[in-house]
Amino acid sequence: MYDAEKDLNYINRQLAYYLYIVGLDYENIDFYTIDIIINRARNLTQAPIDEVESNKLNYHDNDLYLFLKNQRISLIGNIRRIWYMRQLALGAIKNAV
Amino acid sequence: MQYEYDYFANLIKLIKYIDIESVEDSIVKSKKINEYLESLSIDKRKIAVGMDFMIWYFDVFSKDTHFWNTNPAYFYAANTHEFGFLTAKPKTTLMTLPSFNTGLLNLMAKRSELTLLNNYQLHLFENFIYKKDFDYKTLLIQEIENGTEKKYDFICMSIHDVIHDPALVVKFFDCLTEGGTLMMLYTGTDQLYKKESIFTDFFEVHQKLINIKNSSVYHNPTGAAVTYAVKV
Repeated sequence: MYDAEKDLNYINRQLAYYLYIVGLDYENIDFYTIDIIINRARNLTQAPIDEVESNKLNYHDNDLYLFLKNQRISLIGNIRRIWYMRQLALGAIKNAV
Repeated sequence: MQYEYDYFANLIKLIKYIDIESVEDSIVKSKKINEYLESLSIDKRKIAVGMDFMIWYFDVFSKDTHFWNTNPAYFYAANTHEFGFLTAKPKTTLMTLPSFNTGLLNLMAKRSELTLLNNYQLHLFENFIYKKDFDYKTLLIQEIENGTEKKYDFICMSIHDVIHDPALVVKFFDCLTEGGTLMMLYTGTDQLYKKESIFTDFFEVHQKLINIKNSSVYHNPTGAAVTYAVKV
């Protein structure tokens, strides 16, 4: 049977890792919103994506740009997914459906 | 769009399944789960949930007339999953996404000793899908991290189980018996087939599998893509 507490323990450990990467402290998790975390991640991985996609900059084949772009996609995607899974585990604990 | 529709409508005439989930059953299941998810205080703004399909899956598949519920590509995509399971002929199996791939889950439950991973998929499955018509064991992801004593002939998992920690895919592989097959679903992204592929975490997961000494690795890009790794 599903054990929400143990699922949450794993998710929180992963989230703590990503919070550390973006310069936030897991001890303060209750004070963070997803907006705060995502904005930190965006500032950490700045890449001129809009400028390249609108052809103002011609970096389409630039390795450094492609690296930064994909680091950003990965970091933000992982944070969003882990945050969502955390909400699901918390919901399971709260509702005990 | 008509070309794609005709393409898949004709492709599915070439396929015969044992246990695929019907579109109707998928819609009923997704509606129940989506209703539950909407009852949670989950932030559904785009900045919060992004484009990750793990997050929008039940929302999309609960809509009767959505593209994916009216397009035979959905029905076609599962053919490689069932093929992977049947050809592996496993006695013991581990599955991580029973709420997404319920048809395959039913087949695995009928034909193997089934274990399900302790995650939100299990929670949704137990509360909204499970009819208590078969038994299964459960496994914590922490147990996979630490190395399981029990090994499995076949593992059906999603790349989303490990994408936040690509090295974890090696731990999943370690759970295989010799000759066992790991079938990882949803392993394709647009970037994976472009020059920037090598900078993606999807590529990194594949590299981790390829770098295992006793692995052979295959990637099928059709549908949302499937990657197989066999312990040789």
